Amino acid sequence: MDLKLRYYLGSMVFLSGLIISIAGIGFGIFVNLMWTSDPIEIMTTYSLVGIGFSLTLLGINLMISKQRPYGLYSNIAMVTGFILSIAGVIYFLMIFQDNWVYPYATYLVILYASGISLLSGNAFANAVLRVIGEPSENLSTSSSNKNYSLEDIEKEVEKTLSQSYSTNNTNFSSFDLGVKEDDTSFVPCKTFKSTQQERIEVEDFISEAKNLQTTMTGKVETGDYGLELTTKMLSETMKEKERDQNKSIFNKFKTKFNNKRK
Amino acid sequence: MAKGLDVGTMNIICAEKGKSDSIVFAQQRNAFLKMEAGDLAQNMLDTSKILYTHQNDTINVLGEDAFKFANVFNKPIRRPMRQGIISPDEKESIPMIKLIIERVLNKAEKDGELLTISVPASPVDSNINVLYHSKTVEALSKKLGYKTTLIDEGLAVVYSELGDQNFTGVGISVGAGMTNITVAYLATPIVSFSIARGGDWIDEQVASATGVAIERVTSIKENDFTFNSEYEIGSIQGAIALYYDALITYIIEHLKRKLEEAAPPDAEFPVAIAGGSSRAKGFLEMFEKRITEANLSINISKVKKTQYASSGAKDPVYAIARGCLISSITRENAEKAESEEVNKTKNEENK
Repeated sequence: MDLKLRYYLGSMVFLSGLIISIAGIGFGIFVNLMWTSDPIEIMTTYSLVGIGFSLTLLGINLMISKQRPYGLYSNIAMVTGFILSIAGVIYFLMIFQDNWVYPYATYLVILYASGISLLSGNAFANAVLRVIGEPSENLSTSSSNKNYSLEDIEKEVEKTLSQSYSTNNTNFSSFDLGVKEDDTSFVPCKTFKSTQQERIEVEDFISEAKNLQTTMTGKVETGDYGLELTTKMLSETMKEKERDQNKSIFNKFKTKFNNKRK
Repeated sequence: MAKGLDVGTMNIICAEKGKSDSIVFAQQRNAFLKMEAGDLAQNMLDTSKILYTHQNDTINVLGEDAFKFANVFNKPIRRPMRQGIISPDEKESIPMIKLIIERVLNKAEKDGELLTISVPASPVDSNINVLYHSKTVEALSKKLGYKTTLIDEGLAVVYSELGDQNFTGVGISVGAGMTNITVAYLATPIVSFSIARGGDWIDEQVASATGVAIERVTSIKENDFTFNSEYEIGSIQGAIALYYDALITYIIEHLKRKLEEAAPPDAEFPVAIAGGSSRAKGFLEMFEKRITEANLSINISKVKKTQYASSGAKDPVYAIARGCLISSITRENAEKAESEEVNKTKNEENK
């Protein structure tokens, strides 16, 4: 069967089992079930709860059936468990009214308990096997399925290199290339020493340097004594107010605590 | 004094604060030309004060002059860098870059002087690794006595050009070997990547399509090309326009893809474009048109010209070095403020 279909079927079975169980419990509450209740009421309640519980476990088994390592044995255990538990319910319906005595009741308990044990044990074992298998499965798929292009590899190398050589965010010390003294066979002419490089002077206030500092640091340097003094005073006032507020919050808390103690 | 350094495939540019409210740029072409050594040639180069190095029986002419000599002698230029990083094919890359860096940067006035260098972000369309390039450039500057920090080229554009927008926006540097893109929100990069195509790719494609030498294509592209002009079929300018358009579309397509992977905040993102290959007249208008058509997942408010491009005479190629300088000055100010704070606390404790 298609795995997806099996999963949805499992969900449906699980849900129907849950509804039947709830219906059984609901019925029992509705009829106010007790030892002295009508046998039909007892039989209806317990058979509904019994079938519902078996269906719920069967649904769980079907849902976790994906990639079961022991597929065939697991299926046999699941089907046997379900048949045994349902047989238990049917046997209960048969004996309850006339033969609810030893050893029939014991047979019933053995039948139903073995069915439920098989279903729950099978579900548990599959879940455990799946949990154990998942990490290795993830590792193998992530390494084999992801194909890196040459561009990806180069980008990664570039990124790693630039990170390791950046001066800001690295623990590595900077790597500096050394420069050898000039090769004697390579002689610069006299003009190199006798003349200076021609230079062009352009009128420019370079106001961007100050703006750049402001943008990067968020601080404004005024150089105005009055303005700086006022800013300092304002800052002090704000700090004082904050301290007062903190004090009043603490006092409120203290008063509340004392009131409660009283 | 803090400095900024842009190590590009075509130019190496240093930016430092001038004496008054100004920035001083030192620029050198990142190229050289191999010539046969000879007393006459060396005397001529010395008299003309041309930069060169002498090795056994060869002379390497450096910088801008290498281009002039390449045109005269019809020889190919050699480039220490290719596709934004140190060229693995060029044996003399590192000594040449070292010489140029020493020339534009000079030794640090005091040990531990702050320097920020722009480096390319990891490319999305190539398996080039930028680590070796970044670490080599860092080592060369440290050797000169600097305390170096590396930042993405795109972020340098954001620092330089998007200060008015609180450093929120898209910084694009269209260089010779690479195009670097950074989407930043409040100076923090959200997306940063590069594309292994730039001005050189256009030159190569046009040269291969039209059969004209690369050097000539480069020269036409830099001096005699405007977007929105009608060119005849088969003309070099027409081919340049075609490949410029292809490059712009390619950049925007990758930006769109990268933004879909990230989750940018709901804000207005202006675009700032810098870099030598964005110098072509009409480039920004073309870019604006294409980015509007792209329907990106962020709200593009405008495409912004670099400060220097708008002033007319100056070059957008300086924006990256300027961004690096801004980063260095910011770090310097932060360190100063921190040490002042520590001193203040110590004084208060002593009292």
